[in-house]
Amino acid sequence: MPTPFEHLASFDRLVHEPSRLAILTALSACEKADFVFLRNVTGLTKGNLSSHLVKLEQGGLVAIEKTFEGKQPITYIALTREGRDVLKSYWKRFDKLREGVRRLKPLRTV
Amino acid sequence: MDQHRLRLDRIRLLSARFHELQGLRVALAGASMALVVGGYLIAAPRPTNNGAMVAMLVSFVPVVAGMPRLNRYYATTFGRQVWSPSRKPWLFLGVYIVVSSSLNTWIPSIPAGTPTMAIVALASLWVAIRDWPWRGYYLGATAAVVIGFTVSAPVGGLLAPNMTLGTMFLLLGTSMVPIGLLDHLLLVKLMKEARAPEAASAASRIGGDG
Repeated sequence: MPTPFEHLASFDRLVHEPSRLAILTALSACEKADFVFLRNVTGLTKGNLSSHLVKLEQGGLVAIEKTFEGKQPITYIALTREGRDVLKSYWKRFDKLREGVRRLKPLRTV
Repeated sequence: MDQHRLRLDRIRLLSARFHELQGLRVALAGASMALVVGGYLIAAPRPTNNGAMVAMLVSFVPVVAGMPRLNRYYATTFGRQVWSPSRKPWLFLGVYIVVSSSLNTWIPSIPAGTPTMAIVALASLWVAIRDWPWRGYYLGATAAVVIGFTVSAPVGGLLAPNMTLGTMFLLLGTSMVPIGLLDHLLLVKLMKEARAPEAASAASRIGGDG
């Protein structure tokens, strides 16, 4: 059985970063969301959110779609199928890690 | 770790319930229903259940008129989001039509609108349980319908038979106003709490720089 540290080492760094995890979590509960929604939910600045989205898009976890509603440009972001799978397996590992940490016993010092 | 998980759970709840929490629409519909139906009950010389039904339908006019403005407000203030395809409002609508028409067929003496009110009560109860404790205030709508049924009961009820439906709509509309407002406030609160750690870390960074 892998130790908690082995679980930790196997985490996908692209997903594990807190801001990116927040973005992916928000997207996992809907079909797609626009930039303003993600900015509101995560509290990230425009620049930070953009840079995280670029990384997630390059990693194939999200798809970015630029469209217009009337004359207003809107950027929609959606989780790809791969993104959903990666996030699912991330949470599985995360829960295993928590379970493993809970089972750890403190070392006794003499 | 648990605090981080809690924040993510909050974000997930916010994203999953984003449309439901846009409560100003519900508050507007409730206020309109309460005012129009209440006005009808006061102004009509002899109110009838059919008249109350018409008044309830008329109360949708200001709601339809105000909806685009509210849609724009939510889109610009909180952003846009498209629900997951797994959500099927038409399925709920289908169940509602089948259940209410079956009830009307099986129990012909059932007053008009009663199945609708019963479904509203059950749906409110379900929302309160599903999102407990966040949206426990939905029990208010269930309570309003239960009170409506109690006062309009054929035996031991307080209302004349011609006032039953109007009173139920009035009670339901009145209960929808605080529920809608509380949903809206919950949306604002969850948004604030979801981004709070970012703000806190930014503040600590600023503090650290200084």
